[in-house]
Amino acid sequence: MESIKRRWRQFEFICEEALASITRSMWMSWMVVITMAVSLSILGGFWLLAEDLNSLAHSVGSKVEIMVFLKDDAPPNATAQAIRGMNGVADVSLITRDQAWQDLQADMKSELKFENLIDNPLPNTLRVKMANPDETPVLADQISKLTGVEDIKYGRELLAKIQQIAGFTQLLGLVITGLLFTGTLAVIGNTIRLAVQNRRREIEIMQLVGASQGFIHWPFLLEGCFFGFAGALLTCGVLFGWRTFVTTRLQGLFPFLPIMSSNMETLRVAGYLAAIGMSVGALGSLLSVMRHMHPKST
Amino acid sequence: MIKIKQVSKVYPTGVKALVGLNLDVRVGEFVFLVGPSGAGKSTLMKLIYRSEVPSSGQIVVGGVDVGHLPNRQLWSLRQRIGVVFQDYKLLPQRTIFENVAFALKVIGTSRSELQKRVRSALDLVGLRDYSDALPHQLSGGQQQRVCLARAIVNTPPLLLADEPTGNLDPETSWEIMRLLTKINMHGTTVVVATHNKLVVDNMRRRVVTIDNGKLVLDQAKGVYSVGVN
Repeated sequence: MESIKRRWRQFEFICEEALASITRSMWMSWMVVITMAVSLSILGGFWLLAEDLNSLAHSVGSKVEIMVFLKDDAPPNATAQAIRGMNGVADVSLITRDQAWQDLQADMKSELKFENLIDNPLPNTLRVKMANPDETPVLADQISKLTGVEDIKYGRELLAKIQQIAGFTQLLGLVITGLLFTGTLAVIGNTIRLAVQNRRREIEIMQLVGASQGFIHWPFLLEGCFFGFAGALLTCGVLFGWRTFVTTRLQGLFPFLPIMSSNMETLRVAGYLAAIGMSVGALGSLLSVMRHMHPKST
Repeated sequence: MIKIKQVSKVYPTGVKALVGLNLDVRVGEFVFLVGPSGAGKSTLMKLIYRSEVPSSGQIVVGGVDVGHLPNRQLWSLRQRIGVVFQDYKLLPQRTIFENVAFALKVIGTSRSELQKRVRSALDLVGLRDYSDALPHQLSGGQQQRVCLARAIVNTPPLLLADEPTGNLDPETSWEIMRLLTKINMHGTTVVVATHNKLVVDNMRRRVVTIDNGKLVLDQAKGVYSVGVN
């Protein structure tokens, strides 16, 4: 019990030291937090954009149906049954050639009676809906191999394009964020280096009076974590602002665009960003402390 | 308390600070280390509290082989040694109370215990009324007393003082020496590296003379040797 209390008091001391270091050079601390927030905002922005595009692909994909045109001699119900038995198929509906012919004529709104002029040229058609739009190309391939299937059609290009853009956005986001984080790491490292230099005497005395090496490192790690966390908080504000003002307006302008990401989604991304920010902050501190504290020369 | 066997220290620059030095200090002793500048006194002090590592030989402090102590266990040695410096090494932005309390805070001492110990350490050095002052508001002698209070607040069995009177006038130097004697009377082993001939000659304690990195004289109730300095 006494040992837990002692640890707690040491923890309090570490927190006090970290706080003192942050407030001592307020201007510098703000600079680091803002740099961190810029990097995290760009990461978060790309992240949400990629999520939106994925959700767009999903939404477009769920509307994409495979139209299966059957040969004239193929039994439509049996083929429909075979497709229903495939994995990933949500629904199959039959449009008979007669019904299609009537629909076409209705669409033409013509006074002419086609049946009197030509035979019905349309095939029996099956409309297939998928449970998961990502599997559309695979299923389409399987269906096209069934006997009795003349031809199939689906929005292959559109789906592929959206998925391609989402993938590219994710990659671009990662590359830009990677570059920015290298910069952020350097800024944090430099700030902690200055903090180590500012506190050289404290560190020396802590070493002399018997503080362990880890104990001396902790306030700096905590300081780095704080920069990451504060940066993530600012980022949260930026992302929610973006969601509230920009995306909502966009949605108003283009109501057909299914921008799905909810506030919960933004919150989830913000949570990840906080974790990433704190890790980057702690890592920057750790590298700097290891480099500038020279434990050998205590 | 301290056993030094055939210890040599060569700095990376090639300077030989200590050469095959042997020295035993018993528990409760009061020892002066004297010798000219560059003789190796400070190096010997640093080796004892493991601020430096010997190039060869062995140093045992309180049963611990200091030279082979891993860095991660250094704290356990340091908590048992109080160190007083010529330049005091106080934290300028903290009050006198906080400076002394610092040594206890890092080891997680409880608040009530901390208050009690810091007060009694400040009482011992006669600075209780200066608890809330900042170091720069105090004279050199008073700052040295704060440094002394910080060194003993954790009641270490060994106290090392490296030129504790180096920056002080004779009267203040005496005051510091009186305090060191008082601390020694409480059972703490005290080792003082000094140039101060007047103090050494008047105290009549054990005097170990070092010159060119070698122990040249070890007197039980000695004086600052003629010919040195």
